[in-house]
Amino acid sequence: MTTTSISPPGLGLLDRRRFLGDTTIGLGSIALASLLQADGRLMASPVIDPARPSAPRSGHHRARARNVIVVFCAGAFSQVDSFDYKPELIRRDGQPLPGNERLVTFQGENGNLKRPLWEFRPRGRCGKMVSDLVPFIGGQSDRICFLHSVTTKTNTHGPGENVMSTGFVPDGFPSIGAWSSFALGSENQDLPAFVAIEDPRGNPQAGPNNWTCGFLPAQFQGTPFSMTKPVRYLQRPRGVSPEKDLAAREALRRFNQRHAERFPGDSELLARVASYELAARMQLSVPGVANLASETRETLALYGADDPENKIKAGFARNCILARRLVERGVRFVQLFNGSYASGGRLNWDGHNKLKQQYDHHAKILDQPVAGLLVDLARRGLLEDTLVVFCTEFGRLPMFQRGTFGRDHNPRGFTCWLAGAGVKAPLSFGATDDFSFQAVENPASVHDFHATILHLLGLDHKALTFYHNGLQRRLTDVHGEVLKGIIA
Amino acid sequence: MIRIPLASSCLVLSLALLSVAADRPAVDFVDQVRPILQARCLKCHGPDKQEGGLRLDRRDSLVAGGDSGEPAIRPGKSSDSPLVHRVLGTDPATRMPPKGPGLTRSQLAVLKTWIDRGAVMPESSPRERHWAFQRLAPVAPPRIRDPGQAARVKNAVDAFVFDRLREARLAPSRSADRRVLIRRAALVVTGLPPGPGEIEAFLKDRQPGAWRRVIDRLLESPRYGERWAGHWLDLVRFAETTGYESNARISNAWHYRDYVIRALNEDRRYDRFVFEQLAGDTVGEDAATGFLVAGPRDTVKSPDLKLTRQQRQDELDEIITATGSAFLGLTIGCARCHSHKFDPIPQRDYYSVQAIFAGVRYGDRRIRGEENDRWQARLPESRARLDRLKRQRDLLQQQHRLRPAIDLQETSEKFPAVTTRMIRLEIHATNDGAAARLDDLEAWTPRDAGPARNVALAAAGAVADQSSYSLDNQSRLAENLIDGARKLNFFWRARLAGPSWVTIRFAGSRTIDRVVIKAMGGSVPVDYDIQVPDAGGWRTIAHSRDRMLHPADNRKAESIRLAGVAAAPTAAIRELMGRLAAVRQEVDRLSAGPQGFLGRFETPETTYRLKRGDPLQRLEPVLPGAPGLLGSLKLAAAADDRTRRVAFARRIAAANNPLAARVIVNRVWQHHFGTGLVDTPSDLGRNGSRPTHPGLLDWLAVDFIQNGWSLKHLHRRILLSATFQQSSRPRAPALAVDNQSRLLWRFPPRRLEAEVLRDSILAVSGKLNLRMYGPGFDFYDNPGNTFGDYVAKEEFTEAGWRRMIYGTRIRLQRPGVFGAFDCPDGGRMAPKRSRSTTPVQSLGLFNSRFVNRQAEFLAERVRGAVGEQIERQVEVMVEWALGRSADKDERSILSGLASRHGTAQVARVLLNSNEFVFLE
Repeated sequence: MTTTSISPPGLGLLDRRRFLGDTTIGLGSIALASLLQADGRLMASPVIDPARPSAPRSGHHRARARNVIVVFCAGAFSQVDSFDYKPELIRRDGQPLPGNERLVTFQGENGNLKRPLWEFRPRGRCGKMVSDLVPFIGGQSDRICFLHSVTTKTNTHGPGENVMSTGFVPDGFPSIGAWSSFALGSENQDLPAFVAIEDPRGNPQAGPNNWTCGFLPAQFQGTPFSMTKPVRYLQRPRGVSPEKDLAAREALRRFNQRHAERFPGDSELLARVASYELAARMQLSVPGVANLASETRETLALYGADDPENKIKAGFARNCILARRLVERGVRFVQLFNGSYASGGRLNWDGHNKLKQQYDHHAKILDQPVAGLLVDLARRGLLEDTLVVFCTEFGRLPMFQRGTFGRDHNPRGFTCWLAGAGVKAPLSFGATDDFSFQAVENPASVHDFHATILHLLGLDHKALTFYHNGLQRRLTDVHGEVLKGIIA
Repeated sequence: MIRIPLASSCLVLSLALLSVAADRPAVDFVDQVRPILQARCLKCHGPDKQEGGLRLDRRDSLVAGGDSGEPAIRPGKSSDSPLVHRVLGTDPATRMPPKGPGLTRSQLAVLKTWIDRGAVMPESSPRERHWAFQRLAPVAPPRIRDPGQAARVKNAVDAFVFDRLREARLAPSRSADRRVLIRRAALVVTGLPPGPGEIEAFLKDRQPGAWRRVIDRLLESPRYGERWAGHWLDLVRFAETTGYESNARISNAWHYRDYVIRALNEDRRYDRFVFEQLAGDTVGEDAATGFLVAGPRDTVKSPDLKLTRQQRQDELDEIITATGSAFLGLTIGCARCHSHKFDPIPQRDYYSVQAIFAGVRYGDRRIRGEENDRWQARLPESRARLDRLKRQRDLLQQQHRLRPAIDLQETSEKFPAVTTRMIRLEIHATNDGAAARLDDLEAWTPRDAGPARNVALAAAGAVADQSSYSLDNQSRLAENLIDGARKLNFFWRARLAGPSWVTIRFAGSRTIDRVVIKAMGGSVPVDYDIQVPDAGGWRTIAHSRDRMLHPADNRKAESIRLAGVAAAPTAAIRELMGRLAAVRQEVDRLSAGPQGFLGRFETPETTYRLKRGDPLQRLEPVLPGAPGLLGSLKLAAAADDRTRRVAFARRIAAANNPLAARVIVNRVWQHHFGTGLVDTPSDLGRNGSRPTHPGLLDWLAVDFIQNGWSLKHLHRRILLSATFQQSSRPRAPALAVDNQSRLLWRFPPRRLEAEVLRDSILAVSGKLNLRMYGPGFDFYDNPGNTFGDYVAKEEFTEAGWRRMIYGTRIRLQRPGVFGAFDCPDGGRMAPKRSRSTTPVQSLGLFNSRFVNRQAEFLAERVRGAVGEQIERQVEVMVEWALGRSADKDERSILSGLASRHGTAQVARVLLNSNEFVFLE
């Protein structure tokens, strides 16, 4: 079978390409491939077998993490009220933020400093101060590496989600999950390599741009499904019996085989035949992975999936179990959304106007299931090669806005955390100032954050590129440093 | 003597060369200057590494400078050249080179003299004069010596291709058979498979010119424009929503899509096509400027200055990048933060192009033309009706002794001067029944005592209070009423519909005789009292009930109170106002004319070069201009928007701009053969690929210009070539040499695009609706809630069976079954689509309701045409779907399926087959 490189050679290969263009077209791509392999540049653009685009591929260096689960809190999760403990803020409650009185931010003018609305207490053996907003997650502090100094480029939700998922403010760039499955393929050929699990309440604000393949080939697009929304077109059509369906499938296979004989060695045709076989296997494996009947009552209770009072929490908990089941089966990258679209904070973490009531509601949905996921992954030994990432588009300000009971957006310093494969824990890395207003110690851009995640996956963020519209593109644009201090 | 190429790096260079030619340089670059650079500079600023984005081994990059955006040298002025300053520097932190001793005095003298004499740097090899920037010159096609191949040469295309094959020791493939050929041409040109009758006619036509007749017919078909408009819309990132988080629908963006289809079908000259998209408003092609605003933009506005500037900068960048990529194949966008690393585009050029578009704003504009004329013709009659109704209103107003109605934006209430510490606005009802909303409330002192002053200002010590306020993401407090500015994001809104009030307490006792209510067009108080405190209660000093009704007042007649007017006449007034509102709306609509989302043009804001592209760090102002490599436009800072765009558009579409023709010829080639002669179609700069057939690209470009920039002419050249007509069958030895078929030893087969698949399925099932133009059909069930999910539609009816080009393009979404076939999502430009194969595609094509329903339609249609006999049905179905008859094995596979499971399953198989999905 012929193997073709999906990505045209680009920037780093310029001189070689000229060389080939001028003198050696005759050598063709086999020669090209060996030429590139010889100087070890091949991994810049993974070589992909069209018949098995999701075949597992190795990275640039030894991987610490095999899979990733991203818990994405849509709407901008308040670090002030959860993980970023600031005694000085509590002391100065009601006073202006020094040097920034009547600061104008996204929604307008801000009022005075407002202390966290939940009490902080020491958690775990490490004694990390985490608030009563998320006591279950707080209880897992010993497993967690907190990054308190993350900064981003924008203070609007859609662009903020874009940056966190794709590295760029504008729409249309490939998401980190697409880059990862592009680079590494998947360990399981019967399931999509990259799955995006929507919140039971709906899509996040930047919607499918969070799991887009952008300009990467479509097979690296995240496949959206959840416990409430099945994979589309997975079922055979209405009114078509299994026998009929099988007969049609078999006829198609034979018909295509006849056609392929006229085009011996055409990898695209073979890839299409293979894709029908994979589709057929997905029809079995997807319902299997989403069937929780084999989960024990104890496991369901651990996640809170059995909560009869709180349907949304139970739904999100079931999505968390689905995430575990996916990585258990070798799915490379899972995005797990908590919170949905703009709704004045009703359906996500955008607490501008009545943060206390809204967060009390949202935290009940988030807290136990995510903590349950960490515990469950750990006791099954999955946390050793699964990286759990907790993130959000940006944080919130330590003040209340004027005229509301909530906090405005804060891109200058907020908290994300990592747990599992390859990261130091317990650890608190980086810090904001005394008020949780801006990062002052080890500030980490989203590019740094991405570079670190790729690094743990065995990938060099500077080498993982794809040519598009005149440029050799990267997840991290022209930025990003691996946060070496958090790597175990 | 050095030839001065038309498209040489910049004007400065040409002048420098001229002056130097007269006065021989005293310093020789190769002998004297280059050794210094090589020894001390190029390790960090050379071909391998460009610290600070600067490279010193090429003249254009020396003149353009690096990340700072400043030139490194100013030819003729060594004293004004930062390179010299850095070399001379005394500060060890900035002195160059950073390590080792400084340059010697004699080295410095050489450098300075060299710069003062014009910094002449001979282009060391022709390679350095980048091919794509060179003037287009006629190229003679190579002679084909092999008599067999020479006999097959149909036109110059073949001469170039066969010659290149010979160099690689390859031979062209034989010609494909006629069934394959007509299917290939129809799919490439029109995006639809040929009908059985068309195939039959071509097979029977044994006269010379049969192929040409097929090509002519296809190119004349309106289906051609629909097919090729798709390629163009991909390229220019066209979609009909805003993108970003709100991703709201833009209901009238389709005018631009229709423009592209029409222009292509009419074979509009390409230079004209380019001009119109940049400045069509100046030549009566309003719809063409939809190009400028076709991209995504962030519509979430904020009072945050940094964010607002960044958003505007991003909007302009979107337009600049699109323009550079689409028409010039240049990555101008790379020069936003620093001078281009590879191409001669200094950072300043980026901002010159930005200044061209500085007057462009997103928004609707009138589309002039026949429809507009018709609307204008109807206007006098509607105006007359409106006037009649107004006269009736005035009569009633007089008759009932009413004052004029309130204004939806600003109403002034005058009253005898009163001295008070406080006023209160008591609101009983709003025009639309929603919770009251006000932007500002002012209280003015009388004019007699000097100029009137508004005393209801926080700045003057006033304090506002309210009955209630709504809890939104922003403050809706009454204090917004006295902020002294029309800050439309900041207003007061009551929490609930129904009665409400606001008060303003002044800093002390104030005498006032006027209150101004500044409303916001909706939820405007229409029944209110203005009151002052009096004996523990409130005394009304003005109210609205002696005013005439406003046409936008939606209250039911029963709930309206008018001072001194009984119920029956009140109802009559209400009825008249209803009619007046309707007619006024019609007059407004007609006088605005048909509106399209085509951009608004305003006075250009001043453009500044930005330090590292940061909109908060403005450097010097920049004049409008084209990228320097295209020459100066000689525009003044005062040039208006129109002048700027016209001058720029003329330069881009000029015959002596070698990029415009090379870029489009390459794009057209790409959509015929799957890959362009240059496989980086939007980058013909130094960082892009080189053409596989440079001579052919230039020959086609020259031929294209000579033939009036006619795209159809270009298509004919390609389609009539033997190269296009080759078989696509693989040959193992050729594959071993060139497995991508880039040298065109065969016609490279490829999977069809999503649109062609969907349209072809509909064509074969007989359900294709060929209605052209106008508003599109929808792939989503919901109406496009700004903050909600787009839910994909599963069931389509006739309207949804139009060609996919008429499906409304929702940004960030890839529609239903077909989006999975690498449809771009309108987020970025898509000069070439990826072509992937995924199980999600297979699931959709095999299982979706859409495809299975069409399979049933196809089965029914065949049964209707040939009767009940199953073998016959299978035969005909294969002919319709694949344009050929089935062989024995295939008949047996399919008839077996049909007899046990029905012919709809056969149709399902055929619509999923590789042969249906691939272009052969």
